[in-house]
Amino acid sequence: MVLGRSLVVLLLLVVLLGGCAARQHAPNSADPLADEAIPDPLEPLNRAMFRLNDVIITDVFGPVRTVYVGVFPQDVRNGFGNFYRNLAAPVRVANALLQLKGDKAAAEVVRFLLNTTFGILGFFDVSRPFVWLNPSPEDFGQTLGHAGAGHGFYLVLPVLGPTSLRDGIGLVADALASPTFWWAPLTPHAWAIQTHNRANTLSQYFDEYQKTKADALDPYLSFKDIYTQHRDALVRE
Amino acid sequence: MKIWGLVLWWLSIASWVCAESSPMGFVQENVNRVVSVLEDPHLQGDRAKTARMEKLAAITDGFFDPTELSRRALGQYWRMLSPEEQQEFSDLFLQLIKQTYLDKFDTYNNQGIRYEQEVFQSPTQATVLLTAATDKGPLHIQVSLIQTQNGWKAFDIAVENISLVRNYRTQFQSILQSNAPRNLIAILKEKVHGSRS
Repeated sequence: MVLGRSLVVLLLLVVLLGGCAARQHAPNSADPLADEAIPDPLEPLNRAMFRLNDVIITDVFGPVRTVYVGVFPQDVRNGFGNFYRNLAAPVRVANALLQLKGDKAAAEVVRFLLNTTFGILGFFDVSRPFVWLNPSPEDFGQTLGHAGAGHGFYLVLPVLGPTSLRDGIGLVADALASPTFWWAPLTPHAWAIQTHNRANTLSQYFDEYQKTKADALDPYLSFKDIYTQHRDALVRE
Repeated sequence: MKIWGLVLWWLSIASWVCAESSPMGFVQENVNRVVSVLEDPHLQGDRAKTARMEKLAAITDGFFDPTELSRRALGQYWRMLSPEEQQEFSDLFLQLIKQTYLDKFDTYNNQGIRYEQEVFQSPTQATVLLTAATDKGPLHIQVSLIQTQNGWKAFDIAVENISLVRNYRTQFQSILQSNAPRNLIAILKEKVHGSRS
């Protein structure tokens, strides 16, 4: 019954967002310049959110990050990142299967087993040297995109950052499907794990964020375009 | 002995010509030049930073085709610029690109580059795919090149599928929707000279 309702919702989304897809992608285009811009009807609000997030990242997280990086060396931070990525493997497997990408799902399962056992609960990415065990990640936003759904429109969420209507829905679906949610739904433990995961990732790419912002003529547009290019490429793969 | 010397000389010239005549060879040649600057014992540390940056800037100058780079970044707006404005824009945009890349080159500790593939879109346009190993994992890089009178030259670089030219194109087009080309050039000038000081 729940599955049936989910399928109806999925189909509705595909139909609703599908119209946008046709406008956003040149058919079978390999040229990234051919992609059109994502609609941004909430631009004033999104720009305000972008500024707020920038203050949170630069002025609030920046000093915390300095201490964090001082305490945990690069290898340890990589280990945390590996652990969280490994933990999310079931969600990637499910999305690969939804997109009928059996080879990716199989690679994810083998990678999960190898990293959980030989990689000590996923802290070490022992499968990295094997190219076929490193497929690009799949999430529910991509599953919707694979089914033909377009972005809908661009959204900047407080703290979570850039997304789109389609990928925002995907974000919620993936969060509900994640093992952390089922293990301890909405408990302080689950929030702590999510917060550390995001903070650890941000600590890894903090310098790149600042450099990209400094190189841009309009940082809001630059990050919006980076988001779109990145997501479109993932859906195309 | 003389004959062997001649053969050796011919082989070295031939291998240089072959490397230069393919897009992959051109990229490889330039990456090797960057690496040799970064590994030069006379160019290490903060005191040699200016000299190191000058050498890296010279390599970047020869790597890109500034006109093609600018033409693609402006798209339909390119024709709105006068020839003088096009020239000025190309020079400034190349400067901006150099500022974007030189710091990245300078902080790159050569952990190995794998040249994956060379794909021809036409006899005069190609893409070279390479993977650079970094502390945070492999980086997939795509260099787009065209054949010019001076050999192969790059007009775009995409890192993890994010095209540099498209990224700037989005910003340029937004500025040009409400500004004259002269204003865009002024903004670019401010950006280039402002970040230099």
